Amino acid sequence: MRLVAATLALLVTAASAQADLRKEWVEYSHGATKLKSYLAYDDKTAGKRPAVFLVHRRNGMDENTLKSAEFYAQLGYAVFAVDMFGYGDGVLPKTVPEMTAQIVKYYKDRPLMKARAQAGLDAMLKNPMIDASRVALIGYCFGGTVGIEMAYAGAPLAATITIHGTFRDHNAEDAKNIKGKALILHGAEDQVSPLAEVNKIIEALRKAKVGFQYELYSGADHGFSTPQNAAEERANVQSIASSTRYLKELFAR
Amino acid sequence: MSIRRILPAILAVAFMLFAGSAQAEVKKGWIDYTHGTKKLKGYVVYDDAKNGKRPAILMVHAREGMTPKTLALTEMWAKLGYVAFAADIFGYGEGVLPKSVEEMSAQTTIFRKDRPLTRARTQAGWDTLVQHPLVDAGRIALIGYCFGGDVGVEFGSTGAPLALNVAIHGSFEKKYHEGWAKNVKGRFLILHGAEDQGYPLTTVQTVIDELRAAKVAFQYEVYSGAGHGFSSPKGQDNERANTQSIASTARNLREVFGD
Repeated sequence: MRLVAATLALLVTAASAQADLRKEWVEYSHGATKLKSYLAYDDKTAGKRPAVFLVHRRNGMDENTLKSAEFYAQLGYAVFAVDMFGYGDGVLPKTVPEMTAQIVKYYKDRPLMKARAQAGLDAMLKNPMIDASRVALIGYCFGGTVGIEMAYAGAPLAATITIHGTFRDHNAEDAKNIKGKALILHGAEDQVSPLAEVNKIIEALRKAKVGFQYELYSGADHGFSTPQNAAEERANVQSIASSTRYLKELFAR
Repeated sequence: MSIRRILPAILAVAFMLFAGSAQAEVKKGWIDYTHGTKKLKGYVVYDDAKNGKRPAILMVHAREGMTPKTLALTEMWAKLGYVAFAADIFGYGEGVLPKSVEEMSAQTTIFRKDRPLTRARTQAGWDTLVQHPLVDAGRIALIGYCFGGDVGVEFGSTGAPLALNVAIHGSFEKKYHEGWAKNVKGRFLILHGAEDQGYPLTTVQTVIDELRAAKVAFQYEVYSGAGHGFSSPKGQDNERANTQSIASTARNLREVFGD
């Protein structure tokens, strides 16, 4: 609810006229797994446009994921919220143990994680409205690990943006494969992905001379995009504003 | 020297501010004041077209002291609609304006070694600023560059009622006195270059850790490829860091001042 309020506040301040949002499901498969990703875009924008490849949290393709996709679509980008777990097969974890079971599967099997994300990227790039040279990944929590894995594998991403990302067991040496930039937006009191974990990523990015910006917000725990207190409300608003500005700078629109 | 480098950023901020509004009258002047027997001379800038009390910026210079760059930065912040006052820490009122790096280091060393002096000298600037008839004493932010970032930590630790304490490539100490953050009022905004060799991220981390432990509100931003002194940018990474740091400071000022 609060995320929606913050999102709406930003939308109201946006100077552009209200655009009509198109929302559709994109079905495809990866091996035997049926996938169902969510595509949102503004039908007033003509021709090819930059895209946001959005990677969900441990909750999968829930309401929050769709809302986030719609928010970035309002900015004029085609947004593809990728199904990592198999929503096409009905996978939508409801409880924390169910969520944990899902993410652990991918944390443990990095080739699967990357191939699953790549299947989504391939499906997205088939859409003719998308400018393949201008794709930014935005990952929340679990999506942060997916984002870093993809970037470290040399995926053609103009930028990788993590919002309270987890950064699990990456090989720092692989940072040299990064093609684009990085924006790391993090809570200083993140208990799931503490500062020591973030600092490893920052060090790897520095060493590989990757362009990046890192922002740390006081009092915010993991998952501040569904804020639980005033500090997290602020972190959420700041992170949305910062990712918005970053995309504008990156895509010059 | 570096004014030409920061001019585009200054113009950008000025443009943001004045777009659509009438041409403002910017007043600039010196304020003589003292701290003990030390004669000081601060620089004050404000927009005369605006009426009534308004938020203020207490700016603390880098190791260069009251140079043209310091004055230009003061003017830049005043253009946001605040009273901006660059405090004189070294004694420009007595003609102190270090020219060489050695002279600069000699000055900063005095204040690095004598922390009560650093706090009291800054307090003298604060006391002068709050006496200005246009200043709303309840809405004051400190903006420190390099050495001024270190001064900001020290002054913030006294419990000075700052709404915001901004350190732009702050020259932080490796260790401040135990529990320094406990009395801090207001939010810290720490804007730093990832490649700052003199004041690396590990040093900044110790400041962050103290702020966290004392539950002080803060925002910390790190810019890739930027070295110390990115506010006099050399190269693209520093240019970007400079632009971002100005924009982030302006946004945070608006947020805390609500104005």
